[in-house]
Amino acid sequence: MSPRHASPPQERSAGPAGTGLRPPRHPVDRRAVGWWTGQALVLVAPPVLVLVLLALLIPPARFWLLLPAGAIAAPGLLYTLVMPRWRYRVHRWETTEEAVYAASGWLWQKWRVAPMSRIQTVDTVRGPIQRLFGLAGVTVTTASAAGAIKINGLDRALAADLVERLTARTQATPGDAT
Amino acid sequence: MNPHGSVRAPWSRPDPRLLWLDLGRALGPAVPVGVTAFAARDRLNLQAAITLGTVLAALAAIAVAGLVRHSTTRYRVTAERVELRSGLVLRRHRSVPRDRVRSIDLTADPLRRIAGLAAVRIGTGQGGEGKGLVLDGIRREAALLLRAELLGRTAPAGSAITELRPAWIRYALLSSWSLLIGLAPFGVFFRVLDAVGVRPDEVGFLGELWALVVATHPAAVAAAAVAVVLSIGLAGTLLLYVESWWDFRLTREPDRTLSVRRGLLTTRSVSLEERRLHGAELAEPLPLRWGGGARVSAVATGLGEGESAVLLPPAPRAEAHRVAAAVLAGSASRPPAGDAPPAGEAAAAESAAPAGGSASGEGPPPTLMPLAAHPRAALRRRVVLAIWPPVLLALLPAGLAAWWSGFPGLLWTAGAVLLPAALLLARDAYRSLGHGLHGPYLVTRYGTARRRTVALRRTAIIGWTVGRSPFQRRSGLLTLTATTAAGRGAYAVRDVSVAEGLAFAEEAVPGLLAPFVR
Repeated sequence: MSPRHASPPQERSAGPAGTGLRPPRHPVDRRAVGWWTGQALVLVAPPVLVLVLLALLIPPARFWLLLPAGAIAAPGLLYTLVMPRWRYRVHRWETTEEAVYAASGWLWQKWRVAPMSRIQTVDTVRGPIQRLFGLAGVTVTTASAAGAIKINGLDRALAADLVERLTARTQATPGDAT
Repeated sequence: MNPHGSVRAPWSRPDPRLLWLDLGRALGPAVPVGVTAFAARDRLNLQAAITLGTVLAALAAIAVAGLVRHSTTRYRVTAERVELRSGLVLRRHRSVPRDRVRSIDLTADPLRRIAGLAAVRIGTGQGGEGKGLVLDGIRREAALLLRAELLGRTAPAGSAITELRPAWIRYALLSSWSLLIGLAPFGVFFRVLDAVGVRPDEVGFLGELWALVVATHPAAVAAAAVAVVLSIGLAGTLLLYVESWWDFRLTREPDRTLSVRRGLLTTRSVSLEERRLHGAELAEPLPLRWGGGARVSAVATGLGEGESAVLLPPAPRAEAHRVAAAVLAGSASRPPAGDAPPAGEAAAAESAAPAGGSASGEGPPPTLMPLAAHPRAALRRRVVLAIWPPVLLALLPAGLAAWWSGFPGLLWTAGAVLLPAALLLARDAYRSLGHGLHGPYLVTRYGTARRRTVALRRTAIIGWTVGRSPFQRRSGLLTLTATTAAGRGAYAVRDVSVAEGLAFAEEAVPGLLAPFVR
């Protein structure tokens, strides 16, 4: 059996470990920016629209309705513009012979590693907005109760292909996944 | 391999005494409720009548359900599986393969105990579908036999790791639950009044009490209220401690199982195979820590929802460390588990061998080993977090007082008073931080309100998560989280420097994170 956690030679760092984690090799699909923007709008738009609508219908209270609308809309707009692009720079993924490695988040960022021998199931997930953009996510679960590794915003065909490869790979890897 | 091991083992039914217990429990409360309803039938308003009627109907339904359950429930233990059939309308047939049985719990509430009955809870160590089953209404002797048979051992001949000592009850007084327990009776009292539609001021003695309160100095009233709540709360926690931990024994059985037995009214017992034990956690909530106490719980896979992982109730800290060491030493001295441990893990086990060998007796507790301190930036982060609430607490009332003169201006002093306490807590939180490797274990410590020291077996680590907040990115810190199948599923080393954290991960589980480090 080959040493499972040994890394390919070109990935060995020259110096001692510790200048940081390198970003995973593959970015997510460019369309993910649109998807995240959609998600942000779903969160931000309804309260603003309701307040603006009420302001149009109830002239006496207009100021007191437009004030909170503005207070939500301004940071909401910033969030809608900044978050998707920031996420796109952070969200990356890669699989090696030994492990799945994925980065996610924007302000709070996370890098997660799970070895192939510990992977239990690999699934695709497609939410309604994600489907609208032709995207899909891959969820890699291990025995840990702390949650699965999620790679979202992949091209649908690529995600299906990735699931297939990972499933084959985990089945070929001995281990009881605990 | 067992005496009645034929596949055609007969189906047994619960002991008839269980039926009488069930009926008695349902119909017993119905008598006073019915008498009350009859005696006060002319003076009941609609709400009270509905409440009493609902109670009576519910009790009747419970009695009928008990009757149905009793007459339809059958169970049997064959050579391969434990089977349970129950239900009238929705017939359920559940079975658990015997080799999947992980824990046997005997519970007996006071009524069952008087009747000489017990409920046997068979756990498979999994949630969801194969969740295990409960055989209720088994004679106590039969239950003990069943337990021995299913766990594949005859008599409990284990060696005790620790037993409850009466002096430990003083730690019960340091429970953080006392306040809640002290307030609970009052909440229940007013809820009951509300449910039967009585206004509090209609109750005679409450009116008199209120008159007394109004006539007394507020300080005296506050002191009396605190005294009453605290005394109820402390008495409650004492009773709870006695009930939960009476006759507590932690033993190591010959078949490599840890066994916890405890309880006064309900006896609970949990069996935990050592191969499912992947570490131990020492928890010190602040009051308990001040009192020099600690608790120990297991970091194990496959404990069910209701199964407690507690290995030691609040007890002296030295005892907690000793128990943690003894429990871990047992599971470390066994040959490496798992059917083909990956190369990296084998290397981890090898490099751990010298230290692990010394821990196989009752070596130095892993939870007591000196831990590496974290960078000063971690202290800075805690101080910043600690400063905010008191500053807000001071600024908000001050601002309000400046804006509206009727606002009690002196409230801002609360923030000023709390600031030193918050800073002390921040310093304590920083000093609690620590991480290290101790033979086969990764040890991490964090927290101030509840300080936890976790020793997690390195071979049980099934992945890493590196998390960085904006603050951590600015100050070169990261939080390294080891994911595992056991316990809470993830254990963190908080706020360690980037270089140290990544090196630590590599040292703990060689080869797993290294390919992704530059």
